[in-house]
Amino acid sequence: MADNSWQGEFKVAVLPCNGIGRLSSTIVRLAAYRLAQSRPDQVILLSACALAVREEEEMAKLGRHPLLVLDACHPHCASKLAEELGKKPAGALYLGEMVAEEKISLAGEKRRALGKRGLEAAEAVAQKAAAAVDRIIAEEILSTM
Amino acid sequence: MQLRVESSELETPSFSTHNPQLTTQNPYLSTLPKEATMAQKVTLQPCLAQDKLSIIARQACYVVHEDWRPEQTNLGCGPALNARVQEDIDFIRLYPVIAIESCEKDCATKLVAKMGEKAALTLRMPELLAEMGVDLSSVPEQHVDCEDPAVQAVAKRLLAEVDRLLAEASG
Repeated sequence: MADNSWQGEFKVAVLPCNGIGRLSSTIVRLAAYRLAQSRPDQVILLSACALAVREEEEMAKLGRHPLLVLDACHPHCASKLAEELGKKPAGALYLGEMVAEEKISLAGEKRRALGKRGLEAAEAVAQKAAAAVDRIIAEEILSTM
Repeated sequence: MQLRVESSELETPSFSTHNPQLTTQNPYLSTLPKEATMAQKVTLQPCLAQDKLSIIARQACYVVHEDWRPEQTNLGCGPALNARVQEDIDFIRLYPVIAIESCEKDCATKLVAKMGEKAALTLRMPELLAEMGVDLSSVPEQHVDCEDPAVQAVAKRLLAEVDRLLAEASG
């Protein structure tokens, strides 16, 4: 029998790119953790590689909930993955735009461990993402009325 | 140790465990600068999930690539590979791949296969850590410093596999 216990919950599936090659990937990854901590009952983090190979549990999570993608760098890999899987995101954030908007300099930051500025950037991304989650859930609630 | 191969040697596989499809028929070889096809490297392809084991693996890859073998390794980015970013396609087409998995789902290995290649080696973190007797109780979630003993232990194991594959390539 299908597990329908999730029905009625208002949650958002969040797909950070979780890449490894760039500083921006580390910022987005840590931002996703912060987001999950600030919205523990509303956020489900997805794994990009698991989705890329259509892992069953991850695909189920993707299918159940509206999607917020967090792209770290220019190729927008998380957005491309969502497109490949036929899931239209309810929201999408791109680190480059957010950092520029907040005027956060990332000079001297390293991808293996963030310093003060990198952590500030992660916090800024997490806050924007939290606002996006709140908006998406509000829209979901309205759509049921 | 011979770390470079002549382009003519690429007509036959220069390493025994990598995909034998690496030939001059590979369409990407003709579009790459000559230097790119001559350097012998190993690609580290971690699964990049969000759990503790994935994070240890990710950090260990940074240690191997940035601290110990910067010229002989590539950091393979799974999402970029799936998005067909050329650099990441080249990483798996031109060099042997070590897939590092945090669980039995083997997503990194499957992703490499999805993109038409075969990982030379798949390492699974639960088995690795058990084999090395690494205690994870003090390892934090979300971020682990590269100097953490668990990260360093995994990195040393990865390094041994990198060097083994490089030795095979030169032999």
